[in-house]
Amino acid sequence: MDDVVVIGGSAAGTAAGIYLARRNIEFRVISIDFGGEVLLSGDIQNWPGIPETNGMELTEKFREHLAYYKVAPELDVAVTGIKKNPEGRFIIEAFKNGESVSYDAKAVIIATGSHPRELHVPGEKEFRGKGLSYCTVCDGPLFGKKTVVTIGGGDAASESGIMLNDIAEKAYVITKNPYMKGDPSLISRLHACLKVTLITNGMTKRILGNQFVTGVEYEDVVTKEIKTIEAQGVFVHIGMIPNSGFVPPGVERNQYGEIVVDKNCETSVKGIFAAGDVTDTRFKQIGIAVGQGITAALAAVTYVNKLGA
Amino acid sequence: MVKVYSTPVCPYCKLAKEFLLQHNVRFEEVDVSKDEAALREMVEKTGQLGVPVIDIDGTAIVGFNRKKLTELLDITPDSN
Repeated sequence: MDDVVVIGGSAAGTAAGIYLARRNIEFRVISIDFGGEVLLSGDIQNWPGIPETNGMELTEKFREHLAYYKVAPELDVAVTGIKKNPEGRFIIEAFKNGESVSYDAKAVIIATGSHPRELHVPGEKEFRGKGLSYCTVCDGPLFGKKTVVTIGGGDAASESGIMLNDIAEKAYVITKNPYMKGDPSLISRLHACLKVTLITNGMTKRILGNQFVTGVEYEDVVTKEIKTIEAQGVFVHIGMIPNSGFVPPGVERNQYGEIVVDKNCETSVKGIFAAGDVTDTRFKQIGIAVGQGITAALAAVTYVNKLGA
Repeated sequence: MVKVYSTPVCPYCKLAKEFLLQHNVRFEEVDVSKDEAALREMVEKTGQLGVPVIDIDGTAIVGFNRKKLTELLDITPDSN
């Protein structure tokens, strides 16, 4: 039995792991993977102390920092549920490498992050992996000398357009909004990209293709005109969905499925804490996830120590 | 023979290559962002456009999948 089990191996989970390692308690970090969405982040220029890094480098630093404290996250662990046993401890049920496993802990920190939102338009599922991708950093370089479309109106879409400007023959960024939202410095860089055409008020209606993607059909929401862009690659960056499906019903979530936490990262269930992008924190940032991971770890230690008092 | 189709900035390609190195699996690496013939070969083998692809003696795995790699390469699963 552990004092604390941290579910999640990215920014919030790493920060929680580091702080728990510095306390005299038994804990483990379990996760489906290491790095999560941080790993796929591309360039990172707002991590304090390091003006320029990227998702791969920062993930490696996270791994090194945990290793420094002899913390080895258990990977390939997909949590399916959390139950409370008659003694008041939490039983975390999961699949590890396809086999059923369970973990027993006095407190749980949920730091499972989020995953990309889908468009839910015709052609999306059909052409996933056949020109349609949710990761520009991963698959963008395959589209040199090609025409590509990024769908989305926030920071991830801006970053995608900026990256594709350096790779593709021609790039479009389509947003349903009248203008791009998010980090003004990213938006300025996007506007300066010579190969990128920004299409505002464009609602994506369909991904076109035969064996592979051949284009995107969208509606101009002002004129109601249906238009088509011929393209070989499509990158979808329209927001994220919290990885909270396994969370027990007693834990309050908001309308978006985000776990509601207080300033101490406590959830509505005593002993269950949450941190990072899976929570209802307004701004989804690596630095904020780290801060919440630390808060959750310290609050969980306090909780566990009170149980033993 | 093991062949990894990858691009330089793809995070899962890096993880896949690290996994192979950790388990002393020798592999050939091709950068499909620069080698168009290799990109065509990858698409023909898998019918899709996504990296990494790891070809193990003619069986192509799309994405970094520890479980499948462990099975196909007959690697002892990590104890952690």
